[in-house]
Amino acid sequence: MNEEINGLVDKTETFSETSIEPSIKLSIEEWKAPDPHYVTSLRLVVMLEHGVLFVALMLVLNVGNIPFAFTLGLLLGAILLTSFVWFEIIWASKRAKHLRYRVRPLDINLVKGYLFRHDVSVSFNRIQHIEVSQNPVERLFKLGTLRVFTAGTIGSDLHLPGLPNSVAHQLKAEILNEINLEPPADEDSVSA
Amino acid sequence: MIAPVTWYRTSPVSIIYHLLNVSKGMANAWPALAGFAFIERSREQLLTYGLPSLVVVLILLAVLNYWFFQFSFDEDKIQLRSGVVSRKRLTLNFDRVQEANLQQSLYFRPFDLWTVGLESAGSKVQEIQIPGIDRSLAETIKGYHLSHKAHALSLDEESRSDGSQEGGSEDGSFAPQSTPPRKASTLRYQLSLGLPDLIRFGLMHNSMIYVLVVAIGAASQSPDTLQRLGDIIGLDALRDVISTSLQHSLLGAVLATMGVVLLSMILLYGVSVFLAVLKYWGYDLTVEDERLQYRAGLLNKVQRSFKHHKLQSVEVSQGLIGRFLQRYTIRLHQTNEVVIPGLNDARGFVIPVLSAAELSALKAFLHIDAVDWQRANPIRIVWRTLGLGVPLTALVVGSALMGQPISAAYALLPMPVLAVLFAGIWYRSGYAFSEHWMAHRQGLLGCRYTYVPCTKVQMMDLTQGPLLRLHDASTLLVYNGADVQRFEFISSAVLMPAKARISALVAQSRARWM
Repeated sequence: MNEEINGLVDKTETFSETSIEPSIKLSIEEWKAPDPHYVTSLRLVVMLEHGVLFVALMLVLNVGNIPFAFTLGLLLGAILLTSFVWFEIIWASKRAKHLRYRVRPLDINLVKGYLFRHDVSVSFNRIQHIEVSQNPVERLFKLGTLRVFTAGTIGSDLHLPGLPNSVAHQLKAEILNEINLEPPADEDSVSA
Repeated sequence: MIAPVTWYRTSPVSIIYHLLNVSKGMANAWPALAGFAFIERSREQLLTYGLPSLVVVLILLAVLNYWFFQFSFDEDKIQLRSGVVSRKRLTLNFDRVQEANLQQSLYFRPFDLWTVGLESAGSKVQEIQIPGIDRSLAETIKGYHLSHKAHALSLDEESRSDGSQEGGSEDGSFAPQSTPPRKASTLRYQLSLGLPDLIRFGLMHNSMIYVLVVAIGAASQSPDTLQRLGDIIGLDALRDVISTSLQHSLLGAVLATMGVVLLSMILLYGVSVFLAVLKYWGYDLTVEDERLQYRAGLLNKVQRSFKHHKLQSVEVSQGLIGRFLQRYTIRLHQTNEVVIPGLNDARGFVIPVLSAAELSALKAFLHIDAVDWQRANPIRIVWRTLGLGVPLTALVVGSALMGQPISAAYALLPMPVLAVLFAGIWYRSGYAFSEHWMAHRQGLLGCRYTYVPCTKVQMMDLTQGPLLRLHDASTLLVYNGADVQRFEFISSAVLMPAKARISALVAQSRARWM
């Protein structure tokens, strides 16, 4: 019955590999990929995090009086190197590849995750506020994260990273505009 | 010109309220006192000087808190000034207030004084309490809140219907002159609980068992205390009775043991029933138009109300004893539930005891559809059994190999026991998606049914990990304004269209949701 309501029903098999099509169309209702620089920014973050861990490890092993420091260092170094290779080469590209978003007339959708996939939806009439954030790495690549907050419990916020900063601000403005155009709530009707 | 603000001070009787409050705060420091109590010399000093000093300090703090607690209000807002060392000033506009509740504590009753509790919702939930004020003043504050809401409603109605209708106060023991006349309300449902129902509630929800477990755990840290507790209960005498019976016959010993257990259970459940009677004495629920309201309490009288449009989820629970008694308990949850100790119930708006017929009537009022229960993918039993059973089996085998006094034969136990347990849970659990509601039930001996109106959904997250992908199943996380519901290990072919349909319903909904 509801499949025809404003074409809102998603007929895309969001969990199948074939459903995630890279799109360069500007149509707002198409699934869109993040900025190509997103994967580079992820790799830079992975590099920085592992660099900090490596320096901390070296400091602890050299300054602290730890028995078998060389063997322990080799073991932890190997784990750190494996982790670095995994996150730098595989995880970053998979994460960027599997991130897609779609803004429709009445809601925003996000598909993300490689091993653990998520398909998240938030209707505009449930949005409490929206913000665009930018950390130093994102600033370097002129990227931004769109954060959509609802009135739900902890965890009920949609975070859409890897957008060109201008697109993030444009999306924010468009969504706010859509929200402002919404008719007021019907005071006489009670849900369900 | 700005009108001068009149600051009111509460009745001096409210010192008792402040004394209880600061005592509660001090109670959080018990671990520090417990440290002193273990050293004998410190214990003596604590009893001789510490406790009297503490009492004096508490009374002094209570008096100071009372003295510095002032409030003022006008038609639009209420302001509080409080705090002894760090002074606080809080302003709460009546249009932010979600609920105004009145409560009369036992110590206020002889003076006909009341406590007003105001709840606000928003990104940061706030609640304030004004203790020990005259009933007329309490009603005035509540009346300003109600008239403000009525005014907001009437303005909205006018803007939508060319001002043809005037809004009315939703409730109102007090109505300022500017308030439009209240529409006649219709009584749609009424429920009064008598003593038998309260006894049932006490039996169904025995919180004393948890208290007993915690008390035994705390007492076991100090063998002296445990010994003294045993002396008070007469544990040695009981042990003597049982051992004497055992010398005469096994049956006698069994009967004596059963008698002791029975007496303990009667005592535990007796206390639980007593507490239920104190809390819900004279419970009277009325449903007028879209507002539910109840009054209850033997010593502390509580009055709570709940507007239907704020409903986020309905929780119907029935424990094992509830199943035998054929009774249910309902909790209605709203957005950003504020828990005010002494004013609110721990969670939600509670209807303590309902028969099946009364439950059906209430479900009809809440427009809960009949649902067609389905079960999750049964392969979940296998994975849950393996997930917990393999580590447990390995632990038992490992312990036996390490020379611990445990037979390796016990390694055969975890898997079948867990399989039966998880099969039972799977059988008793279920989910349903009806036209306007989504529901799930879970439990083994008892059962908890949760119903969520589709249009109250804030966000939905359909997730699928590698294990779920193997079975073409998913988990749907549904966030509403009060909690999050998990529909786990269900076929993706069911969840994906359900999510799409609910998304469409939410997006199209124009009804108030909080």
